Amino acid sequence: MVYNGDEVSALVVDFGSHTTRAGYAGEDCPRVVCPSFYGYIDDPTPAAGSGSSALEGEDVNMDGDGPGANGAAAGVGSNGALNGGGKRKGRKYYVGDDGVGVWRAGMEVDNFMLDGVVHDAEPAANLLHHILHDRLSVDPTEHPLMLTEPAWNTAKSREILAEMVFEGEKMPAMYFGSAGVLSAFAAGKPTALVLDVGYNHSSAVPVVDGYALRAGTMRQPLGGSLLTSQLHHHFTNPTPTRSFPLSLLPRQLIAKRDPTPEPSLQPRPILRDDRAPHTTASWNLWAQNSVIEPWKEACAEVISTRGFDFQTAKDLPQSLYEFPDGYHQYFGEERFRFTEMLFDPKTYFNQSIEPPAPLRVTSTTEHSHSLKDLVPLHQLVHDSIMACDVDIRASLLQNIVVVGNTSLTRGLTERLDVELALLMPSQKIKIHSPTIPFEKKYAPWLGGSVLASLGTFHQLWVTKDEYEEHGMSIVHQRCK
Amino acid sequence: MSSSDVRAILNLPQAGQAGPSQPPRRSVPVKKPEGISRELYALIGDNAPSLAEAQASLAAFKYRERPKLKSKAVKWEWMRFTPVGKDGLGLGHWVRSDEEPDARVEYFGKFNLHGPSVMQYSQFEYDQHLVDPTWTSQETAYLFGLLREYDLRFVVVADRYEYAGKKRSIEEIKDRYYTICRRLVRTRTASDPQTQQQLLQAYAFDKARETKRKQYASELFHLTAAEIAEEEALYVEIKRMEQNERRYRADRDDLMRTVVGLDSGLIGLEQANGEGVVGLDKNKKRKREEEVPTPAPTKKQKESAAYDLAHCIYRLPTAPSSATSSHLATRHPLHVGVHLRSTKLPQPKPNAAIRITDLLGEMGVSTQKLVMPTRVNLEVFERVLQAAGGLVDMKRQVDRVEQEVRTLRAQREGYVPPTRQSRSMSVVSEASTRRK
Ligand SMILES: Nc1ncnc2c1ncn2[C@@H]1O[C@H](COP(=O)(O)OP(=O)(O)OP(=O)(O)O)[C@@H](O)[C@H]1O
Ligand SMILES: [Mg+2]
Repeated sequence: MVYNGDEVSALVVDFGSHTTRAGYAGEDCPRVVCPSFYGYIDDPTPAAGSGSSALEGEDVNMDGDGPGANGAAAGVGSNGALNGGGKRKGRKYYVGDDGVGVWRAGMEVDNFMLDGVVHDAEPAANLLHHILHDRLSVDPTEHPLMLTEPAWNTAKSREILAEMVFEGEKMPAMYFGSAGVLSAFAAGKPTALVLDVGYNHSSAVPVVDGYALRAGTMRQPLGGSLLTSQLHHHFTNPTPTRSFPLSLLPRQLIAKRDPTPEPSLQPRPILRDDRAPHTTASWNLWAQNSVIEPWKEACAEVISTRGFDFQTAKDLPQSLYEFPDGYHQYFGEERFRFTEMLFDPKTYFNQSIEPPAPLRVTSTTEHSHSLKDLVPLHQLVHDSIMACDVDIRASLLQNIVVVGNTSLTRGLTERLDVELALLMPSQKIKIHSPTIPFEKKYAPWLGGSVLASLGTFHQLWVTKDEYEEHGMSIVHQRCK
Repeated sequence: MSSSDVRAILNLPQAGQAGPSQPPRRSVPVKKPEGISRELYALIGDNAPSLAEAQASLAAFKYRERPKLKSKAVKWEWMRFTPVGKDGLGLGHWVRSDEEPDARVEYFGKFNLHGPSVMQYSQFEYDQHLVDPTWTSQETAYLFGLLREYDLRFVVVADRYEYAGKKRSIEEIKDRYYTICRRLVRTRTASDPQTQQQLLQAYAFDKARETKRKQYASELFHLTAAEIAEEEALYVEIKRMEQNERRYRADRDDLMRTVVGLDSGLIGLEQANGEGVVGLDKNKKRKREEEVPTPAPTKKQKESAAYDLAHCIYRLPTAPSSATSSHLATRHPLHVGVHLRSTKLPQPKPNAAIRITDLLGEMGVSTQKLVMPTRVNLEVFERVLQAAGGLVDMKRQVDRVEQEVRTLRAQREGYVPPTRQSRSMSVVSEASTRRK
């Protein structure tokens, strides 16, 4: 009892717009990290099913254990309550690592998250089922479940999730942990300003004594997804230094690579022509984005001290990167130009490029900015703090916690520090940024893992009995 | 067969040598390590690490000894349990078999408490004392519910507050809560008036002042870099001035001690600064400059003069500031402690003291003691002393001049040849007389 821990082998699941993370409470790293994108094929007639099986399955997902091993394709009938009936009868879902990552003829891709909250019950339930049964291989009725939710979670989404957990999986107890609060806990702080720069959103959440303040919660659709869409446009159009568009072909569509000897030459890989006619547009876009994302993770940087400008851009260090189709190049200024959007969206966010559709649902309110009026990250932090009571501002400013995977971009925290100091010169500002990338990547999950394994937390679980007796009201009352 | 033979058989180039030409066999006898057969050694050559060697080094390696545990390994069991106050929730955890199974559950149950207790009131009390036109009884009840739920965390309560679509500021909430607390404390019969007073003090809340304070505090967040730079410069200036004043004070104290032999009773600078660090800026400098000219007597001063006259109060005139005295002297006039005038009798000059006392004695005035050392008497006495001193001085001069005249006359009459010394003396004395 040294750490006041009391394991009840609770599970923690963090649904994100990009990836979903799941594992056992009390551990320091999630066991399962898989995409929140899912594939589906409508109305699979027996003939089509067997026909496509010839095509699918031979493709190897490099990250997983291979298709089939995990039983990624969760059948519709496999979990009753939620999937029975409805207009989507006959839709077959492919979730988890071997869901979208595996090419299947006619498979569409979608995401069950919208505006940071779970909005599509069916695929989410499928993914949860897949995680519990195929990946963690647990008996759900034995384990309480901690779910993370954004500070702006809706009652509707809570209802979907509670139903999924109690009625779908028959789990004994659950709790909704606010992602901001959990990230602050993961950093060991009860009071903090949590800046989460994720996939669909960047959000700033003030946390005081373990409660997320609604007044200061700010969000905007400026994150990895918008960056990727701008990069997509950049790569698929010729530039002054590159006369041809890049193919951005994913490995699933390439039979044989053609390693060009020289950088910056157009590659001619041998394609899998058999697949091309059966590839859907949504899968193709997902696959191309998945080609861009590793580039972003490997190459993109934020200039940490000053703004970007084209004059000095030529002197910036270059780095070599090779795409799956064999194209490689020394990338220079584009490594810095697009990330500049995070700190100067007015200049560097090109509105004429069609942004991803899910980002357009966020409208401008007191607590959010739409795509039309994005603000720099430091401004978001500033606005969030200024919306709070004067007396707590100082402690928030000295406990800024930066999490989310896009914040792993090199130079981002340093730049944030510089910009905040310029914005609020009279204030003492301290940014807490975990040095271990794990803690940044999985911050909300980690906080949930800590919280759910505390002996003193047992009281807060919403039990199945309570849910059956009081319905959603007990959930809203407990998870405040 | 050596390694080079093997290479030759396999048609490999010789190690470390290009070309097929056979290298001259070096017949340096290499010592064969022990525990390995000759043929094998010849095969693997001398550069391959030998297993035997490795084994030998492994054998030399000392592993840490296995700890000898006296107790047997403890058994842990998976136990079902129900947390305190959560009937119907069956959880499981690992428990040491020697541990009391319920101990841990109870241990954590103890934490199942709430924070600071929130005041409670009855409907009767509400109707009697707590009615407020801006609050309904329902809204007050809602507020108290929230306060209880969030353990009096006012920031969080204000954040969650939403009654009939209306929000309230922290100040409003605090004001309402503390007002109610104060009224309840006052109306409820207290066993001990002191604790009641303490409670009242603890629940004191001034809404207007708090709002003002927050307004000022929030203004600090909007300072521009230039304003901050100015503030910083001023701060450095203050520090510098403080240091200067401290030095002045030390110098002055030193001076007073050596010259007058007493501590200058300057008002402690620390004290003066403590109240004025913030206000100490250019204004102060200006004020100080204004202080230097002695202000004309104001109406108030005239009034006080009449008062002084009536009560025999006599004020020492403030010394006119001279250019040489430090600015501090004008600000804090030399302070002289309270004393009896008789102790401050003017002392005659030491070199003429005896003659003055003699002189006064001749006139029948005692130098030791004044029967009535009033101010007037003292002043007269001082004048007498001064006159006596002057007289004695004068007498001395006259004596000297007369002496000189005598010598000069004697010279002229030729009795004594003139000496250089006497002439120079006469020059000096002439000069001194002329000066006077
Ligand atoms: N090392 C890295 N450098 C830069 N970007 C990265 C790095 N690693 C991951 N990313 C990007 O971070 C994004 C995913 O962020 P994250 O996993 O925090 O989102 P999420 O939690 O799933 O979604 P959200 O919080 O928006 O609901 C992706 O766009 C990915 O490309
Ligand atoms: Mg996230």
